Amino acid sequence: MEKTTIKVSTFLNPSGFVEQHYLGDQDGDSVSEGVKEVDDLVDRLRSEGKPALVLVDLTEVTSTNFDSHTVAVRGMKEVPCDLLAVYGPLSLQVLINTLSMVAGKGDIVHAFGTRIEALRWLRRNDE
Amino acid sequence: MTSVLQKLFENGKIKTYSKEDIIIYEGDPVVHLHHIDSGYVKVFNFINSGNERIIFIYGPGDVFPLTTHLSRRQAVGNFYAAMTDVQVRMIEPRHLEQQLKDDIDKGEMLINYAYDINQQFFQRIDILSVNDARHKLVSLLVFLVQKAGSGTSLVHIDIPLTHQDIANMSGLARESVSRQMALLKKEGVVQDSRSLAIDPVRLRKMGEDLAITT
Repeated sequence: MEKTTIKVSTFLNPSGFVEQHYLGDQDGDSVSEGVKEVDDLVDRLRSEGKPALVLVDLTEVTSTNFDSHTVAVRGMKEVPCDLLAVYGPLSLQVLINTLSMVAGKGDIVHAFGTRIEALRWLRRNDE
Repeated sequence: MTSVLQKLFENGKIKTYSKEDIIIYEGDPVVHLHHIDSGYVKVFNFINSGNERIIFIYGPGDVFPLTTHLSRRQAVGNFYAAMTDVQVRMIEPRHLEQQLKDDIDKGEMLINYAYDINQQFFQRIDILSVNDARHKLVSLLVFLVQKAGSGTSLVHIDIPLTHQDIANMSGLARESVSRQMALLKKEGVVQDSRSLAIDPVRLRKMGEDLAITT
């Protein structure tokens, strides 16, 4: 039986934001699946009148390709989240921050080196 | 890649710096991104003894401090200074953002350029932590040939460098640099010339023997 590799997992964090983890090699299909999962949970938060905050972990990503970048840009444009904080290694911080500029969402999408930095920015309006 | 980068800066403000001028101070915010039209810029900091440690060199066609900006650091982590007379074109980060909007190809080009520069940066950091003097010096020469070399059978380094500069770049004492350079001259890797001149074939062979990645 062929082994299925999970490339993305998404859930609602008890703190009230959407949390997503990408694992391994990413392509257009896996990012597309991730965007769909985030979109569904963002819809749910919005219908409950809650802010749509999203935290994405890229620390376990091993590679990305052009298709995955294109889908990520589309996701940044189309998913109606209020803030999207991403964390991961330097090369992926550069990637995400550049793609956020391509998407015209540089003000609401930020990538950081650590989870704590990302969380602090995401929840800056809590205090 | 270079021409696309150049295009991003074609309406940038032209500014010139003289050799040794500091362009960005450690701790400065990223107010402008700089594209080098001509000349060389060193990235350096100071080690505990107060000596300068040159971490990286940017040359014509390079952009700085790009990674600092694209990783959204609040401040620049090192000094940037002119190693020669330098001409740059400067744009504000928001102008870069405006030009990238809805242009995935430009975005990809920038991502690939930043990735290449970061790889070179990390290689330089790795070399600074190596203990073997010969390994350090040969690695530095390989880097200088790539970054600032011109010519084919004999490569001249376009930056005037003293043994103290090479010491600052390799993390060696000046005396060690002089000793190692004398050995490399004897072996025909470095040749007597007005500028630093290197036999690329001999350097490549030596690099392979020392398992230096390029």
